[in-house]
Amino acid sequence: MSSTSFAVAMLTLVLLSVSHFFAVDSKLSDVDIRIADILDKAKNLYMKGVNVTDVVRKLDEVVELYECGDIDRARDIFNDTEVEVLELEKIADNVYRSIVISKAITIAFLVSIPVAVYYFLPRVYLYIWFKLRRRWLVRG
Amino acid sequence: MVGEGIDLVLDEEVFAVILAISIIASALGIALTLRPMVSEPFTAIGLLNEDCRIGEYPKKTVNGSSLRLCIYVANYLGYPAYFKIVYRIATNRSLPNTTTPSPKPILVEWRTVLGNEEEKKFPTAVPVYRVGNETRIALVFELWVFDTDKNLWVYTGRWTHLYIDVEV
Repeated sequence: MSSTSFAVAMLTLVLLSVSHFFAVDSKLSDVDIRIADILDKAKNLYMKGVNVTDVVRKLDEVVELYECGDIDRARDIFNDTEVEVLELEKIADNVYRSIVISKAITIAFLVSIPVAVYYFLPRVYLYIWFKLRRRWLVRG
Repeated sequence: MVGEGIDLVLDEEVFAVILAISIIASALGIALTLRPMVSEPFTAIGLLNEDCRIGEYPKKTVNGSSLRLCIYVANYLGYPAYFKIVYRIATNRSLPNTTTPSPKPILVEWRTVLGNEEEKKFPTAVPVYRVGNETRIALVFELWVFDTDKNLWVYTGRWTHLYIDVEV
């Protein structure tokens, strides 16, 4: 095997090992592109933590209606979905921020647990210990 | 230790164990909070019988007839995705593999949009006929996903097939 063909074989192996998917189909319908465009936006919203269940359900309905030939209804639902995505895009940054803040609060709380245990446990234990024995009498 | 009076009441070793447990619990909680949403993304396709259950698949049919089956698709990619299921009739020599789809022509396509961690089962009827002189054929169902970055359909490497005897 020549060095060039060996290099090509190795490159192919590397590409195969790093790629999830292989064969492609470039034949696309207009519907595919429009659905994919909205879905890409929904994907970005989902990554920011926005609930896109309704958008996904509607897009699936659009695909189903389109396959059944009910183009008018499919177009109506698609337009609704576009509007819904635009509305969700407006709140996406706030949702993302609130998720980050809630995660930060959770982590701060979790970090404080061992500190709190170290500081408070002996004191609380001592307090309860004395409280439970306050009626005790010590005889010499 | 925190204080001498406390030493007398709370055993130092017991305190150390409780502290260690709280540190481990805290570290575990932080790891769970910061973990990625999906650690190993995958998709799935399955073939079920006409009642959408596993088993009792048809074994033979008449040439040119249609067969009622149920297709199962699942999305665990970590994001909503647009899928298509491609149906072909193949033989032993033209089955797909994990990298290449079957070279046989596409007979039917179904499309669906699934959210993350969403599954779908849908009953359908597929045409069945002989390929050349072969009486034993494979009904092949491949799963493709739409790559929204490159705007093209990409074969996921997932497929399922059912062997069937076709009677003339």
